Amino acid sequence: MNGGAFDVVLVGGGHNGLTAAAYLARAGLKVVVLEAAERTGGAGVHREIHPGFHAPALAHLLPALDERVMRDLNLARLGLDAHVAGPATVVLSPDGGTLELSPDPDRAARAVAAQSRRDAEAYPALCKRLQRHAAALRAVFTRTPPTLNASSRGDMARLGQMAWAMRRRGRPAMRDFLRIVGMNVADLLDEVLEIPALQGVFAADAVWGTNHGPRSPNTVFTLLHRMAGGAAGREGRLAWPGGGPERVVNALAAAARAAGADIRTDARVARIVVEAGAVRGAELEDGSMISADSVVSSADPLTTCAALVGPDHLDADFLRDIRAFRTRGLTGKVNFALERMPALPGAEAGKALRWVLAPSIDYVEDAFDCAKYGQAPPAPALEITMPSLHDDTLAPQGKHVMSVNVAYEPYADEEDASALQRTVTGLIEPYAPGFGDSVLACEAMGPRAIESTFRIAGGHWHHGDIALDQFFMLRPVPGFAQYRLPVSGLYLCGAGAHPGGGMTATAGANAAAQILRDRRHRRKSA
Amino acid sequence: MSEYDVIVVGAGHNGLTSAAYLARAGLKVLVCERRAQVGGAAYSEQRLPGFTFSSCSYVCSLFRPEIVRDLNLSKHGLQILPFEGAVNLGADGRYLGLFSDPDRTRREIARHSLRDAEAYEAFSADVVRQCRFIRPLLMETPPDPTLARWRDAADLMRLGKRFAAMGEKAMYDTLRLWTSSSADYLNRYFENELVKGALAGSAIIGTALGPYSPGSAYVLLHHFMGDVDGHVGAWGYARGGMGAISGALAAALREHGGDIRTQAEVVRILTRGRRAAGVVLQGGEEIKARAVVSNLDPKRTYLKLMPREVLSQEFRDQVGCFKIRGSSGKLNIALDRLPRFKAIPDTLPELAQGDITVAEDMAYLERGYDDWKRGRWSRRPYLDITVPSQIDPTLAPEGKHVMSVFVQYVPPELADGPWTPAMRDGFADTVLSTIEAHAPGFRDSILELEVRTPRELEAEVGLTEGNIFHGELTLDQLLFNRPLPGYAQYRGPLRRFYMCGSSTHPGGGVMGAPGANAAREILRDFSRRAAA
Repeated sequence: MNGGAFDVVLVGGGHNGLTAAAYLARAGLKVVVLEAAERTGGAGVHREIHPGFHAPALAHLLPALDERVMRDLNLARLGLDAHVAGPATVVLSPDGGTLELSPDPDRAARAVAAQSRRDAEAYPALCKRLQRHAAALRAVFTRTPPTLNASSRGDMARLGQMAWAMRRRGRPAMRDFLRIVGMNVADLLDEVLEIPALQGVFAADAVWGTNHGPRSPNTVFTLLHRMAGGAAGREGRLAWPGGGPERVVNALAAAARAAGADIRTDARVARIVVEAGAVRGAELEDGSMISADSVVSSADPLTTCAALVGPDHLDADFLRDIRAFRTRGLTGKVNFALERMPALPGAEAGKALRWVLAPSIDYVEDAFDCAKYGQAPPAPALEITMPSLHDDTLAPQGKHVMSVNVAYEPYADEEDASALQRTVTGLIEPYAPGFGDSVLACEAMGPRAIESTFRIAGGHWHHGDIALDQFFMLRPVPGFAQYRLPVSGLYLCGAGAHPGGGMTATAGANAAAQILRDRRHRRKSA
Repeated sequence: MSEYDVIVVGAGHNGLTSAAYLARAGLKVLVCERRAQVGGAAYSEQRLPGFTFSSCSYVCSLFRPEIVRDLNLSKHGLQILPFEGAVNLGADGRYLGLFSDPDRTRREIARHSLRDAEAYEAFSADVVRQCRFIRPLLMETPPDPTLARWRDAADLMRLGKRFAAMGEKAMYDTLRLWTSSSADYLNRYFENELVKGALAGSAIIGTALGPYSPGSAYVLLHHFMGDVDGHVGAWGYARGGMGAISGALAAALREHGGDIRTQAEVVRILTRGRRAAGVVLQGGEEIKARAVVSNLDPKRTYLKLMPREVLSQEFRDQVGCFKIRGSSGKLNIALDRLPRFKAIPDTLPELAQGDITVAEDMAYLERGYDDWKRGRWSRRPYLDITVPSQIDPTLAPEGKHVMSVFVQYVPPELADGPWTPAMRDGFADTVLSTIEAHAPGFRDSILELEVRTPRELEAEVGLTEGNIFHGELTLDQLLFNRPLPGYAQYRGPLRRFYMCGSSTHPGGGVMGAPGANAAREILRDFSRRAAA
């Protein structure tokens, strides 16, 4: 069955794909979204891990959605809140002293003061300093990266603008940024804070979802990157949006449909058809072909290029570069269905909280030092949320779902889900006695499981590691960081493109803008 | 009226270099050195009659040829004796030879992996291209993008032009080189672990980084910089040990009329208002000068020698945050006979004449780094072994030898507390056992052993926390950040006060570049003042 005349085939219906589809359809293009799974949403959906129990597939705390997307796609009307209060963080400590940090740094300082007067001053100062830097970093998120093509006036002008914007921040801010951006977060924390658990929570926040340890250089950058994603003015504020990530992706799907995009699920793309150096469309697994003169992929770069396009249509240098793009994940996800509320400190109050088990920098680094050799650490860092505490659609009355990020869990060909479950359960038990007995069901996924479940090569949450050498002009591959891939009409719009992950929809919006610009300039080659 | 135009505190190789340039330009210069001999960490020592050790630093391949020329160091006794080969020892008797002749190296790599032999050409070409770009920067003052001065803007634009001239692809490579880990950078080219171990080993020397650490890739450049210089020093030893470099520098300094006083420890910088005015020695003697240059690291300089009241608390805090953690150790050994490394074939004795490294793969190096992070010396350490007496007969009696063993990683303090003699022995034992495994019978041939942990490097040589580079070489402490943002152009926060050691651009290794660059800036200021 030929799908009819489309302008754009969108491969993959995750949040970035849906966003790009919505923008392109809004601009009047005929768009079809091809999603392999039975529903759209990618890893932003909720998974029913036990009858009646729904847990977020991967991310459980999201940055605010890119404000351009909120506004342009009218998402408030579709039920999304622009401003959601983030949870307080409960810092778990083996010595029993828990610290509850309000998302407002000044209020958090009061809790910190009980343990250290010095940190009570230093903590809010550090938060604000990082927020300012994150805001500056965010300025590069919302634009297509320039190239280093010296003969491109536009690109050179944009690089100049960026340098100027940095200068305008003033010398102290510029100096501070240039000094700390490449540093490891552990050294920065040692300069500023003394409470080990407070350092631990920052260290963990710098590395969730990445393949770095807190002593790895460039983890101040990854911390800023995490804070910078989302809406301007809301740097660092991650929250459970009303209805969870699933409501976000459903709203994006609704926006795409409302704009006129055709969304097809259970439609797995087998290959992207290329002839004479240009895309012709996509061929589905059932053999049917959908023609279009633009193919936009929200799949990860490796899947897109090596699997869907194939080596025959890509030159050897590019293939080598794309294969060198680091896509192996190092983060695990464990979702629990619970018979009753666990006795985690503060849970009974029923408000939004996240619990972090990262009692020191060394604790997180030790876990990294295991995982980097491919071994599952016996004591990973954990970020725990229980969205059912404040969202009653996720579990039956009185019962709960718990969502846990695990730093770290290595990619293993023979993944042992039960070992991961046991490790995490064993770590939580001391803080919530009786927890183990209350588990009705558990889904524990390492990168290998994430890879096969969500079709992300390597199982990395962000489609490719977040690191300075895989950012901006270098993401996913230098020379192809402008959403265009080296086949005429082929684009990348997912987390493997600038600016990288976090469910903000920025990549999708940027890609759509680039595609529309290209079509206006009738420029279809990379 | 001042006795001297410039006093240099510390006769390390950079201090001597600075002083020699200044004297050559006609200034009246004095170098004050705490110890009995000059050279800092670049010195030769006779511990046993007839045996000469290069006590700390042991390679001179990075020394700037411009400086050798400008100061006529060959005339003053600096002679480089070339060697042809080097070797990396793997597990189970495997070895990888490296040669000064790139074709021989390629054929040798092919023995392990045909694919890597081809990749080596591409790798070398890419790295050498980056070295060519960086090389002029070594002898230039780093432009500061945070300053609004015409000079920095002009320098940055020139740098930008040179950068752009490399071509787009090479520019991206530069960005990757400065942000990637050496492991990721090497994984792009190579598959064989012994090859990667050999290359990654040179990238961890003196660092508080492992091969998996982002930012470690650019350190690979140093290894190739000598090749780009195109002089034989890339593969050679200084005749007489590293002291020959310092000796030649001292001689050049004296020839130009400079003075050196040894056993003259500076305990305080003399100041007058907001400017440096001289030094105070142990014992109280005051020597005045129009300017003072420190060859010591910033912590020693600003927190020990500078009077407290002259510096703002903010500046002192910044200096306090400067990272200078030591990670290296050194063994100097007198041997009764030539050690026999069993992996090296008899037909290739030249492989044992240069660096003999122990780095079977990158994970080996990274695990060594993990130990350091936990306050232990590496249980299975990276070793860079040289037996220079094979080429330089002046270093040991006939038939006997000196061996230099450089070790990564060794922490400045142990997890259980400060270094004790027993711990030092334990560390030495780890190193000696490692060598014995590769060269059976070696331990029996030891005549004399000197062991240096970061503690000895600090106590005897004056390297704070035993860091051999006067400060870690990470992005936050390089270029316009080295040693501190705003003070990266050899001038300190006081007028007429300068820094010239490895804690200034371009950093450590026995290069002489920081000293030469500092002298240039000092002369600039002097002539501006003279012209005014």
